[in-house]
Amino acid sequence: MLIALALPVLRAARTGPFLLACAAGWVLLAIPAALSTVIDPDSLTVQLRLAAVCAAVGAVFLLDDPAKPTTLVVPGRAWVTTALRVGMAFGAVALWWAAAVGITLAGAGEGIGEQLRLAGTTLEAATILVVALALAVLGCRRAERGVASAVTAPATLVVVGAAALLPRETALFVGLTDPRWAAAHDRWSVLLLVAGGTLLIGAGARR
Amino acid sequence: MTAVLPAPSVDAPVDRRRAMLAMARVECVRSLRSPITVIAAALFLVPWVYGLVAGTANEFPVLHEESVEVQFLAMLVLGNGALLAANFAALRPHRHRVDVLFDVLVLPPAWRTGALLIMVLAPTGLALVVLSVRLGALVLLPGAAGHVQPLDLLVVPAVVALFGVLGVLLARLTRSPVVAPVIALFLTAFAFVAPAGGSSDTQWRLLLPIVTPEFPMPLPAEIAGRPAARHLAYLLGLIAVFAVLALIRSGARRWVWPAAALATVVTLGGAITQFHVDESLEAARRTATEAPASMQSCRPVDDVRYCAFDDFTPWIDEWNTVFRDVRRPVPTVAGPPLVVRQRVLAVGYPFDETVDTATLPRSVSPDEIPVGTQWGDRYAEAVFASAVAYRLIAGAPWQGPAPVCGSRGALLVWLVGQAGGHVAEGLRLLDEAGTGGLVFRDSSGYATLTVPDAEAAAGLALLSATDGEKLVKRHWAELSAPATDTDRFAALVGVPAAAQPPAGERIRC
Repeated sequence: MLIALALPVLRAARTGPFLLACAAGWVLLAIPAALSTVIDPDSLTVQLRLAAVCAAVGAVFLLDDPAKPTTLVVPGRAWVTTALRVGMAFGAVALWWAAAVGITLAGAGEGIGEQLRLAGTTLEAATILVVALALAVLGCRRAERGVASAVTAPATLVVVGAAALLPRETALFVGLTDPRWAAAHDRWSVLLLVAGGTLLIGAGARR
Repeated sequence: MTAVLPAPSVDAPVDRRRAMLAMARVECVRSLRSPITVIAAALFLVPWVYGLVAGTANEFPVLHEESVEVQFLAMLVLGNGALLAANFAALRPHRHRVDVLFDVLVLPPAWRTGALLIMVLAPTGLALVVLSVRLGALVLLPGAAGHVQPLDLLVVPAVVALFGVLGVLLARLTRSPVVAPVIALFLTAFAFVAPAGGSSDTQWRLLLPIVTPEFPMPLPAEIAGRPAARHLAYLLGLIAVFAVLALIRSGARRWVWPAAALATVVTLGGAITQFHVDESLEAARRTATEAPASMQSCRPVDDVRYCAFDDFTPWIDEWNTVFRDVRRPVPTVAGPPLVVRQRVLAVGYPFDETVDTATLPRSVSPDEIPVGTQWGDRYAEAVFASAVAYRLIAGAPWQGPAPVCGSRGALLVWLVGQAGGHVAEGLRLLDEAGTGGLVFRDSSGYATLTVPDAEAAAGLALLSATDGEKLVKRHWAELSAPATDTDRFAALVGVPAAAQPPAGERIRC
């Protein structure tokens, strides 16, 4: 059933905004990579984070389901299509992220690529994506017409902006050489679990 | 029955202006009630209030510097908030599928766009209010130095208006709701990363909507040399260009081309002239760097003479407190009269931090203890305390660049640490950051005083002893002699001698 559903779901999803946001994320990374100026690893990490937010904002649009008023009355499991959409978003963003890291490493100056802490940055990117998808799932459940991206996309930015302004002791976005890096990434892991749980509950609960 | 009614006049005069203003009024209120606007204002104020309450905020702000530094956060939070909120409002009819009905309504699309452009005034006004709250609270701090520059202050509302108008323009260019968040992220990225990024020292950074500080440390206002008025003209021109583009896109035809031409001229004029640097500014900066006495006023406190740039005289009492605390255990002070002079490195600042410290201009008169243009961040206090401690130990201010070795190094660290309060806190922060030695450095750019690790460890060990002050007073002459080594220091004051690092890793004295 999953495979039979996959293609129609992909066709029905709003892939346009998602692709645009992903392309924009790449451009964001490619502009400084193409310039001759040497950019320090901390700024490269900031760029990667911003690009990840870009992709997450795009992924929100994949959860929009304008057909919700018609599918609401169809007997069948609603979570299956949601799961398909979420899975689609994860797969696509994972591929996109691999290429994004590739662009950054290719454009980084001599010896700067090695100073990046990619595992931690990937955890941040994954968490941002899961938070965005959780927001999208909850938003689409609430929206009568099944379209909530106009709200959830800016909401994703607001959540990330608030996370960036946390006080020192609970900071999430820290510099590469900061001694708080490990503690911050413990917090990121917890956040990932919480957001993942919210996503699962939001996607699985009855509408 | 048949009734004959007079035909209604088709071309009844329609007051579009009034309708536009009515719509603008409604949109203004909606915009102020929009969650994005409210959250943006909260994100701008709450972390700052938290800093004030938690005591981590700097109680010694330099006001003309704060009004510039705050612009970065204001652009990211308030500016992007205005962009998203304006775009959201401009796309609302499309989202609710009522735009098809617009043809039968009083207001043509261009006038609707006009109303939305007027709406941008709401987040602009809110930005001015929250900014005034923030800077107003700083002005009231007793330790505030300098003055708020009104033109720098106005840049923030102008940036918010620019972003808001951009949000309306984007809605007129494309109905996709993904574009505004993506553009917001792009603007954020440009603000962060070189070559035009906020932290770069190139002139190109002036093309950003905000003005970012040129130096990492505050300058006295008279040599700050920020082209605030011309930058404001650039911003207003840019706002007008975006507004006219949005109007043209909505079908406005009357007066738009002259307006577009005028807006472009203002933008280009502001953009180009802001790069012009006055020669007198360069000369003033040279004077401030090499012969600051002519720009400063002095005040004696006890037997110490403090000279500061006029903006910074409120800090003299704070400097004196640190001076007194460092001096307390010192039995005798040798050398010429004590003078503390504020220094600023406004010419030849080592931005890449690789400049040989030996080539930097030092104290004008070799008898003066330098103090920078920052205070309240703990680092500045500790760095000043180290300069004072060296002067008290050696009888002359430190001239660098060699590190302070032997007993003098350990004694210096102890003198700084025993001063307590912010100074001791700064010493701890510097100790955590330094590798191979305790480096007394702040962003003033001046040569840095280094104490090797073994010496620093001995000095820090003495801090936890209860009778440190008594021992230091008793052995002062020997402890402060240049020939005494660290082991002798340890033996005299009774702390364990720290092991010297292997010869290859040792800092050369």
